[in-house]
This record gives sequence, structure tokens and C-alpha cells, in this order.
Amino acid sequence: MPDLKLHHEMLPTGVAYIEAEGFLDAHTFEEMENLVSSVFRRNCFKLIVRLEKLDYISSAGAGVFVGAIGRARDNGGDIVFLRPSASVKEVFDLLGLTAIFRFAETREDAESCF
Amino acid sequence: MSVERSLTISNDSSNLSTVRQVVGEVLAQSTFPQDVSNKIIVAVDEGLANVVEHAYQGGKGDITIVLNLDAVDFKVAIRDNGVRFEPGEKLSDAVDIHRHISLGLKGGLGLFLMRRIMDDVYYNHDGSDFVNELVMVKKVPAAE
Repeated sequence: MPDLKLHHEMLPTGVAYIEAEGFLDAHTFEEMENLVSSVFRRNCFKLIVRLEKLDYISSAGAGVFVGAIGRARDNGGDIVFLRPSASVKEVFDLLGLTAIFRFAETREDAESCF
Repeated sequence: MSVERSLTISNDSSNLSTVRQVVGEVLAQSTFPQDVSNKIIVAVDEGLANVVEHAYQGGKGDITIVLNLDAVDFKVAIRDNGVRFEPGEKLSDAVDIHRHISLGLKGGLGLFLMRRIMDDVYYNHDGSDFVNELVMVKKVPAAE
């Protein structure tokens, strides 16, 4: 069964770096939601989320970030997406999220957003 | 050319990926460009995810998905025997994403996506074998 694989680490700059792989849908979004919540609980509100290997995202998956970005920005942080796959980018476009979230091509570029 | 596929699943979100795969198999026989097919898969997934989450209100139940592809359109019917659902204004094709963000909302985007992607989205009720039937239609592009 297709699922979601998440990897995360704290960068020396104090930014949380998350890599998502697989499928972020109504079945798996809680894994991402729990991870973002755990990062916030550590008072880290700067997130880079690499989406290059994410094959699919639904509104439930995108909703995790829609629900979180306000809190991130209220606390001086942000959520920056790194290289979303074409299919993920299409869903972001449809939801109007490309005008709201920041995107980067490299990790260094993403870190420089903060 | 006409293709019909139907499958019945339990209302478990782990079944969403199976349905996405079947929808992809049917659309592979269509003339939709790949990016449009990908979006249609998203729309079906959104509709089904709503039914999985809400139709049986925490209880168990079956959901039947019927896919029809012909030269005119691709039509999806998602049928359940759960609680009657009246979408009302929820079928609005507008969503204020800034409001969602300012309020920390994360839901309500699925119906919006369905309306954005499909040409027609509507509900039927009280058929011979269903309480709710969510129907989504996408017109097949004319052959050049």
C-alpha cells in the first residue's frame, strides 16, 4: 500500500528540515500533522519541507500546511517548500497556495528565506 | 469506446490509494492529457475522502465507486448508505484561502478542488441502492 515516509532533522541554523516521500493524503496526513506539531512544541517555527519525492498530495495533506503557516509566521517563522514535484505543484496552484507559500530550489536558498 | 469499472470498498481511508489506482487505469484509456488525468484523480480522491470520513459518522459501511468513460465524458459516481448529506453552500466554488490561514483552518478544501477540476459536481439521493450519490463529470476533449 502506498504510504508516506518522513525524515526530519534540525539544521545548525535552527531550522527544521523535513523530507516527505510517497503519498500525503487523507490516510497519511496525520503523520505530517503530528511531525509539524512536534516541531512547533520545541518552539521551532522555521520549517523547510522538501517535496521532491512526494508523489501525491490531497487537500488533507495541503491542509496541514494551510493550518500551520499562520502559527509559524505569527511566531517569526515560515514554511518553505523545497522542489515540489509537478503533481504536487498542480494541487498547490489549484488551491492558490503558490501565491502564499514560499518555494526554493536548493536547501541553501530555502534557509536564506528565514 | 466505452469503459465501465465499479468497485466497492469499506469506509477506510487506507482504501483511497486503491481507488486512485483504478481511476488512473481507466483514465489511461482516455484522451485526457496526463496533467488533466492527474487532476481528475485528485478530484475523485477528494470526493471519496469526504464520504469515507463523514458518511457513516464513525461507524462501518460500504462505498461503491462507479466509473464510466466514453467519447463524451468521464463520469464518477460515489454511492453510500450513510447519513443523508446535503452539501448546500458547501458546493460553492470559492474558497478564501487567506481566511483559512488566518484562522488556522485546514478543512473544506476538498469540495473546492472538486469544483475547480471537474465540469460538474452534484448529489443525488435515495436511489434504489444508495442514500447519497456524489456524481462528478469531466468532458472528454474533442478529438483533433
